[in-house]
Amino acid sequence: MFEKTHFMKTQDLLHRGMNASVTRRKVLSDNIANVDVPHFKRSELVFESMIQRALESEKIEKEKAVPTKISSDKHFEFFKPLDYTELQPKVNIDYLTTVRADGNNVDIEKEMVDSTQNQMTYMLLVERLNQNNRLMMQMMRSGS
Amino acid sequence: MGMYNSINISSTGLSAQRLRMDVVSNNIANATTTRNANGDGPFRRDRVIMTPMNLRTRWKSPLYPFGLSPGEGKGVKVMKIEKDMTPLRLVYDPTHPDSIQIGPKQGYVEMPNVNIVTEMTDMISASRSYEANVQMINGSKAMINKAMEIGRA
Repeated sequence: MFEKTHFMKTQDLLHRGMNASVTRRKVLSDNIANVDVPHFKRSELVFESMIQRALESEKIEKEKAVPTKISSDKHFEFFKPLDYTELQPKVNIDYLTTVRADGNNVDIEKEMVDSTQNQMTYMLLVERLNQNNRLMMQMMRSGS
Repeated sequence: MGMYNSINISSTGLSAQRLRMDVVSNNIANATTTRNANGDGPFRRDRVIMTPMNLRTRWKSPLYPFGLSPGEGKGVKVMKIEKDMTPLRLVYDPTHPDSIQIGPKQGYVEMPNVNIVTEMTDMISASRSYEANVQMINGSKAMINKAMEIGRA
């Protein structure tokens, strides 16, 4: 019903952000649980920078003065915007660094700070989602 | 469910650290035990070997790309509790019933290789790691509670 509206896009982006936040929480929990394991390497989750790139590429496509016309399927596109709906959070392992003598590279302070930040982000996203729902409700009521 | 997984991961950390604490207690309690259960020498200190639950490679190679995509991890587990075979401490006490009777070490008693300082630092490390895992569980709880507010408006 509202698929093409800004409301639904906001809703979808918030949903994706919350999903990534929950997955990041798991990654951070795993890092902290393995803090005393020799030769363990920490992992991290990449998502926000990917989605930012996709949204900026959409903006470039929209602001183009002369749109590219493609008359055949065999033509190459000059510039193809990234589709943010296809992005998945990615878990990367930090293979290359060593912090302690036992080969483990979990820095407990960094992990705790990251997890607090992640928690705050999640709460912010929930607030925004509620606000978005309130706006949509108001819009639906205003017609009657 | 998705969200509760992070609590499960932290709980593996809790049980591993608790086991480590138990082993440290046992080592300290047996710091002067000169006879073990089998009767073949003094007590030797125990050591906890921990490993990640999803094993991943420690090296990076384009020939084996599976080692690079381990997912978000499942937590930590205790692989084994092994005996520390470092040399024992010798104390001269000829009247001790477990003292060595013959040979160049005559009159010495073999004492366990438990070093109280090492055990104490291990204990502090275990209890701090335990606290870190508890903190993670509390944070996850706060996040779940917040998620329940969705739609309440």
